[in-house]
Formats: sequence, C-alpha cells, structure tokens
Amino acid sequence: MAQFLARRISLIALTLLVVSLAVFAITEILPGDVATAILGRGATPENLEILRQELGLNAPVYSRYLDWVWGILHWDWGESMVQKRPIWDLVLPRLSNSAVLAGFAFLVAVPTAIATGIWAGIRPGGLPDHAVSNASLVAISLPEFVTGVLLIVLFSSTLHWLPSSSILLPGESPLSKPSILILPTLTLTGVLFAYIMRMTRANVMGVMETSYVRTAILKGLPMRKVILRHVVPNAMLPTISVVAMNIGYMLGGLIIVDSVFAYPGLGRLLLTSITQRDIPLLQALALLISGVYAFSNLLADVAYALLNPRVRLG
Amino acid sequence: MSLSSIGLMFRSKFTLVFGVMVAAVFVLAACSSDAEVNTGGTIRVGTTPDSITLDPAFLTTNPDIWIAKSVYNNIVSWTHELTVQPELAVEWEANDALTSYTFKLRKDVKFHNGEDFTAEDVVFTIGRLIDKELASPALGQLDFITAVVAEDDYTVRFELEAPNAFLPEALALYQGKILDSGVDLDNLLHAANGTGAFMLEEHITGERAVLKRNPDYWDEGKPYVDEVIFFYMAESQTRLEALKSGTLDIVVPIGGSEAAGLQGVPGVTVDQVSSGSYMVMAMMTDVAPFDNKLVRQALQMATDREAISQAAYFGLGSFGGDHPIPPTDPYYNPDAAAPAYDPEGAKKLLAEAGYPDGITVTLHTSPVFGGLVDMAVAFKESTAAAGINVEISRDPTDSYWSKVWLVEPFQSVHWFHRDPNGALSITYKSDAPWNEAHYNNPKVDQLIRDARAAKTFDERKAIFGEIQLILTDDVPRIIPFFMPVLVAMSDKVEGVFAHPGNNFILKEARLNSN
Repeated sequence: MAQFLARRISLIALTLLVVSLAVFAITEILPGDVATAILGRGATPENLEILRQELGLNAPVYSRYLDWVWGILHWDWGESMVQKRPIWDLVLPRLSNSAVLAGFAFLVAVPTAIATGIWAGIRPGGLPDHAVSNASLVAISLPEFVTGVLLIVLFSSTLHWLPSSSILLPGESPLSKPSILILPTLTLTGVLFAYIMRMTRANVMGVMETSYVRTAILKGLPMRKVILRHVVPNAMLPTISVVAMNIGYMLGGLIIVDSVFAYPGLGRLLLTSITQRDIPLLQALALLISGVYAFSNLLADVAYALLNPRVRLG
Repeated sequence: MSLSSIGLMFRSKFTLVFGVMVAAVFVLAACSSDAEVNTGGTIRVGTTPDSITLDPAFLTTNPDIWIAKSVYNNIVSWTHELTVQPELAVEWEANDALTSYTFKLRKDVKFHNGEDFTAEDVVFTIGRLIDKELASPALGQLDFITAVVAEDDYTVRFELEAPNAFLPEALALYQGKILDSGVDLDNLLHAANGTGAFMLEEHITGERAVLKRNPDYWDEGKPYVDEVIFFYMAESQTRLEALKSGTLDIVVPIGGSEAAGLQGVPGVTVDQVSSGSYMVMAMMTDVAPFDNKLVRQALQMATDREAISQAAYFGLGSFGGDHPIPPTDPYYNPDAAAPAYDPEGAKKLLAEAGYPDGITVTLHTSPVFGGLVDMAVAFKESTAAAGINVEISRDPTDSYWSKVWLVEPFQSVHWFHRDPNGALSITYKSDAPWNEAHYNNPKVDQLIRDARAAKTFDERKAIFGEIQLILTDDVPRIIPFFMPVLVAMSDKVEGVFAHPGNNFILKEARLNSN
C-alpha cells in the first residue's frame, strides 16, 4: 500500500509539472500579455516595451519558468502581477467559497442521485425509470449557463423567492447568507445528479442480471436484503470513480456558475487571471485545480481497493 | 457665494470663467436645497469586471475610470454641457500668446490621509504623466506640455511648446487625477489616497470595490450617501436581474438593447444623454483602394446610418458628420453633416473611381466594445445595394488593440468623448499617435494649429467648422452615429445622471425614502 501511494504521489507530482509547463506554453502562444492587458488601447510599441521591462516580461521564457518553479519549490507562490498581492491572499478566500459551493452541490447531488439510480435500476423500463432517465438526459444536455439563467428567470425574476446573484457585502460569507447558495447549487447539481444517477442505474441493472443475484433471489432472500447486501455494494464500485471524476468536472462548472451568479469563487478568479494574463496567479490556480483533481482520483482508487478485495494495491 | 464675488472673477484678464459660473450656480443651488436632501445609506452599483488598475495614469477601462472619479479629483472637469469647469483649481489664465497658463488652486482641500493638497501634488501628477518613461496612455494628449512649475503652494504654471487654447480641456482627461506626491505608487489598487468625495475602503479585483464617504470633502455637505459599493459582475443578464430585484441600485454601462429591455420595468429608470462617444470605421488613405477619394465617398454614401444605429445601438444614436465633433458640442458645424444614404449615387461614384462592377473590401471588427460587430454587419448589409461587398473579419479581443488596430487598412473601433482639439489632434493630425486613417492633410494640420492659437471662441468655431467640412468631404473615417451614454437605476436613486463625457459622478447621489 505504502509503495502504491508513493508511486501514485510521485506520478501526481509529474502530472502537475506537465500541467504547469502546458499552462506556461499556452500563455506564451496566446496573443497579448499582462502588459497589453494593462495598457489596453494605450499599448503603443514604445509603451509596451517600457512596461514589459518593468514587469520582467522581457526575460526569456525558460528563465521566467525556472524562476517560477524555483519559487514554488521554496513554497513561494509569488505575487499577482496585476493586483500586486501575495497569491495565497487572493486564492484562499475564493477557495473556501468554492469549496462551500462544491460541497453543497455534492451533498445534494450524490445521495439523491445514487438513491434515484438504484430505484430506477431495479425496475428498468417502468414509467418512473423512463421519467427519471429522460429528465437526466435533458439535464446532461443543458449547459450550466442555460440552466442558471432559467433558474434565475423562474425563482428570482418571476417568483421573487431567491436572490438572482450571489454578490457579498463586506464581512459576509456564503455560509452567513445561505440563500445565495441555493441557485448556484441547483445549477451545479443538475448535470452532476444526471451523470451519477445514470451511472448508478446502469450498474444496478448490470448487477441485477448476474447469476449471484439471481441465486440470492431464488434461494428466497427478501428483495430488500438482496438489494442492500448484494446489489448496492457491487454496483457502487464504478460509481465511486464517477464521483471522483466529477470533482474535476465541478471545478470546470464553477467557472460558468461563478460568472452567471457573480459568485465570488475560484472560477471567477481563474477567468480574471486569464483575461489579464496574470501568469503567476493563473499558474497557481491551474496547479491547485489539477492537484485537487489528481488527489480526488487517488482517493477514489484507494476507496475502490478497500471496498473490493479483488483489487490489490502494490 | 454672492453675485459680486462672481463679478470679481470676471475681471481677471482672459480667464475662462464660464466654468466658475457654472460651479457658482451649483453652490447656490446646493445651499438652497440642503435642508431637504436625504443623507446616508449605501448605493450598490453593478458593473463589468474589467477592472485592472486604480493608478490614474493607467486608467483605460470603465469601472476603473468611474471608481477613480469618486476617489480622486482633476484640477478641472467636464460639465454636462461639455464645457470645462474648475474642480481643484479655482480659476486660470493664459498669457496672450497662449503658451503659458497659470492655475490658482483651492486652499481648503485635504487628501484622505489628512495631508493638505498643494501645487506640489499637481506638479508631481502631471509631471509623471508627461514622463516618457512612465508610458501612460495619456502621454499622447499631454505631450505639448513642456514644464509644470509650482509658483507657490497654490499656484501652478504650465509651459507649452506652442500656442494652445485647449490646455484646460486636456487636463480634464481621465488620467489627469491628482495624486498625493508622497503616495506609494505600488499600492494604489488597495490604498488610494485622493481628494475625492469617497475614500477607497476595500478593492477586490473581480469581486467588489467599497467606497466610504469622505467626511472632510471640500465640496461641503457632499457626498450624501455613506457608502458606495461597485460589484464586478461578468454577465449583463445577471446585473440587470439584480437591478430589477432590488439587489443593485445602479447598473452601468448598459447598451442599447439592454436599455430597451428595461423599458416598462417598474421601479427602474434609464437616464440617457447624447454624447461625443462614437463608433468609427477608419480607412487608411494611403492603401488601395482607400487611397482613392471617390471610393471613400462611395462607401460614405452607401452607409445607412439609421439602420446601423438601429442594429448597433437599438436606434438610440444621434447623427453628425464624418468627423468626431458631435452635434452636442459647442463647436459643431451643422453644414458638415454626412450625405444621406444613396446606394445608386454610391454606385455611380464607384464607377467613376474605376470599379463599375463593384468592389470587395475587408472590414476588421471585434467584440472589444458592445455593438462594434453589429455595426460591421449592418454596414455590410447597407453597402450591398451599392455593389460593395464587405467581408467581415471578426478578430479576437485579446490582440485587437495590439495586432489589428492601426495595422489593418479598414477597421472598426470606438472612441469616448474628447474636446474638438483633442479628438482631431490624436486621430487626424498627420503626426497623430492614433492616426487610424493615415490621414495626411497639411491644410487640416495647419487649421488645427490655427484653432489652438486662436484667441476667441468665434474664431475657433469658424476654424473647426472648416475642418468639419473638409473631413466630411474627404472621408478618412466613417462615423455612422454618436452613442448615447446610458445609466440604469432604481427609482430610489436621485442625483445620478448619464454624463456625456462618460464620467460617472456619485458625489450628489442620494437615496430617497420611498
């Protein structure tokens, strides 16, 4: 197990290195840099030259990249080039806001999706199954910016039940004002629910057709017990991977949800860092997000192994 | 302030006292109505998230310009009539040659940190802007200033390289906001120290900016509200819904279609004023086929201005000539209006120019500004009837200013209001920094210099009138319409107006009780 973990963690480190290289390379290829972002229309060639010199953008790519890596290795994440603030001071409050939102979405989506998936999977082809399956197909197909706006129009503009945007006053946090969390959570939940539900349903259907379940039913075990003892644990295994993969998807969805609801989360910070070409901030966020993704997948693998004695780690 | 003291001001020789008078009227009006004004409360403003800096020298985006307007002061500023009024200055006079100006400054002004505002701060701020090493976008508009000198604590002298009647107008530019000469320039985004009506309390890029009332503001009694919060919100739909539901009190900027969508919404009003801001399609006059004046005139005649205003700004535009001086400007010449839409006439001009079978041109555009792409599409449709095939190149926003603007021979951009001298000097003079059309007309160059050196308004008006006629005839740039400035706000808000110079002024804002 220890050997497995060591190997996986070093692989994650390698992944993060590749991600940071890719982000750096992409921002190099993209037209414009932080100097053109700051100067806007005032970006005459002379002005650009002066500002680039000042911001240290004129150093060769490799030397800027190595400087940055050197800083990270000493846990020095650097300063935002535009906001002139330490990166962590900018990232931490946003990270906690996003974690709250993502946490809520998971709490809502995962149990309901699994329960609905099991329910639909043990009676495939019935009317409830058709209803839930089709609804989830619609949810998967609708992008968040559509779902979000539909929810705003319905619950905010028409019914006036919920605030249309998630802006915070000084001193407020999402937890102190939970009403702002409801619409973003619902928006994020839509797709998440649909994925997990469909996956669970398919797995349950598969397990229901195995010979061990048929044996259990035939030997007279109550249906309730068959499902809880034999179907659910076996059907859950692939679902764990799906949930873990969706953590990565959630981080992408956050960008859109943050924009639609003006929610002060990581997604907006990421978008700002891209439009302003604030490379140190962008790099930090890319590393953070890919790190979360990689570690949640690692956790899923470990959980998988613990639940399934057939899988050996080592 | 008594009427006799206003009279006293009129006596100073060759002083531009018009602005002083406007200010005096304001003071009189404010004195009489002070008792009824509601004070206190928080105004919440929803705006775009493109904030990047609060260093006045580098202001280019709307939210930055507007927040800075509340935190800082210029020494002079634009009135709603597009004339110049004193702000931190009291009055000014020029020498007879118009090469040296002396500004008297207010003596009762303090920075937010309690320090006195003095001439040294003006010397520091303007000196910084005209320093080539700073690379401020304001440089191109102020580089005719050769020296800024503090004569005493409250007197500043500007020396110019050539006669120029438009120094006050130039000093009203967005970037001319007065900094404290001892300020920490690296921390302006979080610890601004201005003289303005509001103090910067908190600034979180991409999230919000919180401004608190300045209790020692020099314009006594103002501002009326305790707090203003700007919220950066990416989606215009989200901003408008928040206004409708009462989460926000004001939304700026809004475009024509958004204003139309707010019509009839209870509790929301849209204030609108025609302005000198415009969208433009510029043709490089030294690149074929645009080097042929007949081609440019054909394109001009094939421009359906009504249709373009409808498509790009929901029909809210106002129409002038193909030059940057709007109908609202005191120097506007109504005889220089653009010709009416006439595709048949355009066809004839094209044939005369040697293109009897029509012509194909590529127009570059980009969503860097709301409505630009719509303008290009409507232009394509309106010119088709004249046998002109406009191919539209929709370029990415990221590199539009650095790779397309001033590079491609036919391009569309937007400009905010400037005074006639400013607008002509930066886009039409042969040595202009932003000469989009590569326009090179020695006669216009000379007329611009003449206008700067002319001593009276009437002389200047005659010269600018002639320039407007030349430009509409010569068509280096097509200006289909002038944009209005629009502000959407709740009925609870009073004292906030759409400003034709794209300034967003909050020092008289208040919330009524109902």
